[in-house]
Amino acid sequence: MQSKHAQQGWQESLSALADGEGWWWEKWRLRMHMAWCAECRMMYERLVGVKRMVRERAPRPEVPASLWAGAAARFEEVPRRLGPISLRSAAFTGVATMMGVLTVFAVSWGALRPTRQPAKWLNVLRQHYVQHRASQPGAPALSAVEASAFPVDLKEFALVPVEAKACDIGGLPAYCYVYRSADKDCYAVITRIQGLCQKVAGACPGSEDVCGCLKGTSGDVKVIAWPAEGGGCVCLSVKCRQANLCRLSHVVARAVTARR
Amino acid sequence: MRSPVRGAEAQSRIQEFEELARRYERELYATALYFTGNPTAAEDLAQDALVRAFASFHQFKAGTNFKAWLWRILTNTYINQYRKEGRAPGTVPLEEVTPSAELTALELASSKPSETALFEQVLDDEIREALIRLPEEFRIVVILADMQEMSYKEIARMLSIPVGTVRSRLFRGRHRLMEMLRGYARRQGLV
Repeated sequence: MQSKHAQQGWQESLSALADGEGWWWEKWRLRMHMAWCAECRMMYERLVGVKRMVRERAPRPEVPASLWAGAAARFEEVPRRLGPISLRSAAFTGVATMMGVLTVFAVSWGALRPTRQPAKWLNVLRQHYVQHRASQPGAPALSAVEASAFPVDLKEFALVPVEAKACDIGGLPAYCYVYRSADKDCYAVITRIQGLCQKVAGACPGSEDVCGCLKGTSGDVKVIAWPAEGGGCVCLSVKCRQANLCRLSHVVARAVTARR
Repeated sequence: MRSPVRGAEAQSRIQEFEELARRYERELYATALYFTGNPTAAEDLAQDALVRAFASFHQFKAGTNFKAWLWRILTNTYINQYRKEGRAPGTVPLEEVTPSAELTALELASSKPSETALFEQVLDDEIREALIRLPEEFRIVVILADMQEMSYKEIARMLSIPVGTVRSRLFRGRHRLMEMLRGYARRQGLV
């Protein structure tokens, strides 16, 4: 049988005491116990130490300027709250909604047209992969990669390069090339990463033959990872602010599935 | 065409919101960063949370806790959108972590009495790495409770889980952190 201080419930109570949580009688009981139990006292001190360390020393990085710039632009798009709806405005809203539905339908259909051939996407990705494969082992450090050299031309998909920077993916050093659609509704990020593949594959059972997998099929982000020789992989992620525009990434997803 | 009156009204609304939100921008971004584990996703998450908060700003009652309200939106956005997309570091089932079994009397007795002082020697970057490596279930509550000093009740409301679960996850998360940092200290020869 476990001793009292090794029981998880007891240890949880010590943790709660470090936060000042719990009933007064529970706190009193724990303090009385700690008066003679060195083991629990030590555990309590450790928990307080961890709590203080996280609060005081976990780094808080500077906020990137682009956070507020992007948010401000999107604030303008937030619809204002309407007052009581008049008959005339209700009719207007009805017509506008119908037009909206038609537009969404047209855009969705348009995105699925054969003009955006999966094969084109594949070529783009392959080209990207080949370029980066050449720069894998023995290549200069990530920080030395020329920032202005965007690896892939995505103009045909109305995506223009906006930024190239060293970045961090899941704690791993990477280099990100960010593309954005002209209307700022979609963007793509191409990333060269060392060592992420295993992590991605581990999270997606049944994807052994490619290093990555397709994720988030119901949402607005798609990630495709490509194996790179010498370890690591190349990733493409596409994100759209509106679900219907994500057809673009559905096309990519289907293309990769077909290839497999 | 937008009428000047409505435009001015919108501008003052934005200003009012920005004024409040900017007080917490650094903490908001830091929370997003520890939730997602990478700066690009953190920026997206923080931005999405700000836009959602602004869209619901008319529901916010002046004089109530703006931070708790904003963090609730941030947490919901992360859970409903980002986590679903699999952009966060992987999670582990709770069963895999059984701290009580590991915390034997022997282990406690063998640790140096000054071990709490060890935390002071750990580098800040290592703390960040350890936090990011924590399983998501634990990471969220540790960030909200220890970094943002939120009460168990607030966290339980944000995550729609019982207070007892918050308590349990927090303990397990802290215990995991201790183990990670002890491992780091061993590698560095600090213990």
